[in-house]
Amino acid sequence: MTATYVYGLVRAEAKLPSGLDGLGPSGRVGTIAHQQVAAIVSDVPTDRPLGTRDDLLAHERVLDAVAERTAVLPMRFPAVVEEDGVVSELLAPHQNRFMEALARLDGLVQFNVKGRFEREPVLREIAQADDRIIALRDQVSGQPEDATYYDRIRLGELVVTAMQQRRDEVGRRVLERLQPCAEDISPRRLVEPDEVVNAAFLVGRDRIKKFDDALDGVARELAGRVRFRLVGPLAPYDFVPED
Amino acid sequence: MTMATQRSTAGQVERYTGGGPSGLAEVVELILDKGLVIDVFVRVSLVGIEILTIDARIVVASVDTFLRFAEATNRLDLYAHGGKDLGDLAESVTRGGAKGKTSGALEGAVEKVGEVFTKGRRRDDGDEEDDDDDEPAPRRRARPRARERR
Amino acid sequence: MGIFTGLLTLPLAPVRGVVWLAEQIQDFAEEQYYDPANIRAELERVDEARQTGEMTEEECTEWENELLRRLMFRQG
Repeated sequence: MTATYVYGLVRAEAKLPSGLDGLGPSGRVGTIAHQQVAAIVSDVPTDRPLGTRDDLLAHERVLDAVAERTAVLPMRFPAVVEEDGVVSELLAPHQNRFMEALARLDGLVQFNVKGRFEREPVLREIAQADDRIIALRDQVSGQPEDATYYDRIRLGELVVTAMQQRRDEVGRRVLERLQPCAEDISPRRLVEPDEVVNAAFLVGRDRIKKFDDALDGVARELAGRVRFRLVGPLAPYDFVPED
Repeated sequence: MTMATQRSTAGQVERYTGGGPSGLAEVVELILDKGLVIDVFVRVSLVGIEILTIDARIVVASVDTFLRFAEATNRLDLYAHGGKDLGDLAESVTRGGAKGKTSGALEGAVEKVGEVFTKGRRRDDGDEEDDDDDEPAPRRRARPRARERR
Repeated sequence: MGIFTGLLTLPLAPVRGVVWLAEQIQDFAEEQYYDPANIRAELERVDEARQTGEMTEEECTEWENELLRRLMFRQG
């Protein structure tokens, strides 16, 4: 019984980049193929559980390097199977499903876009637009915290509500501007009120520049109010078929 | 050959390109939450391997968030040089952009965003606490816990 | 001696109440400790610390591995 780590799935004829570093002791990464699909595999550390920083980074780096070249279905971390099971349990029973998914992802890579309000300018605009906020601010400033507890909550609530309204609107428009350059969008959960955008985009390899320019354009218009972060190209983590 | 992540700030966008995310937090977001899950995994019983499902709980702004933003507003210098009104801001984004019909994909995306705010159970927003890191780790206890698979 | 006699005759209910409360606090603390969202937020802080050089590479890696261990640990 040999434990095998599976990073992702590619077409059997796909050419993997050289120099991939696996998370196992050998450091090697190879493939196990069955008919039209192949699993990208490596050995697994045997002396400890998986889940260190290095393990995670290795998993992601293998996948993103492969994604630069060819369609790949990334596995969630961790993905360990018995070596014998790679074909009999993984590739053979799901052959069609995998082929369909790979066909859908052909020529596409993922980009993650994150946008966040610049706090000060936006807070300033919010405060200046609402007299109640200025009034509350005057009321609480310089006062001891316990005395002004409810006032501060009220102030914060007004500010947060206003900020969320603005970020919903700005976020929607950012998505509108990027949408024509992407095949698919998978928005992620926004956590803080000042998060404007957090989404994964599926972009054609031949339209990366167009996507990039569109983001640059909207970022320039929002300069000083929103700062953006672009990560990619990535393997299509957010666009795999669900069970 | 290892891919080196290029970090550049051309224009207004901070770019991490050519090698994937630079930070572990981002990697965690990608490979623990997303990616294919097949139930055939973990038939080999290796020590400590668990399939992870990250709770997809909805974060609703809480008192803690309000207090933090109140604090930020208090510390604000209200009368620094004014910039564009945010009202203009939203407008300028549309003006500058191509006038395109909202396609199904976008509607889906916008709906999804709306969904996020209505589905799921409430929870207190506890991130960004100024927590004392010297807190002793709680004893581990076995306790049944419902998990959601995304 | 008299004090101990007194303690022995205390009804059980209040003691149970205190234990129950302690368990609630323990539960909450544990929930926070293992909460993926909190762990994620902390991972981001480590990212920053690494970038600003506030902590050494080894310190950051150790911290991250500890956070990952917490993240991977599943209760129940």
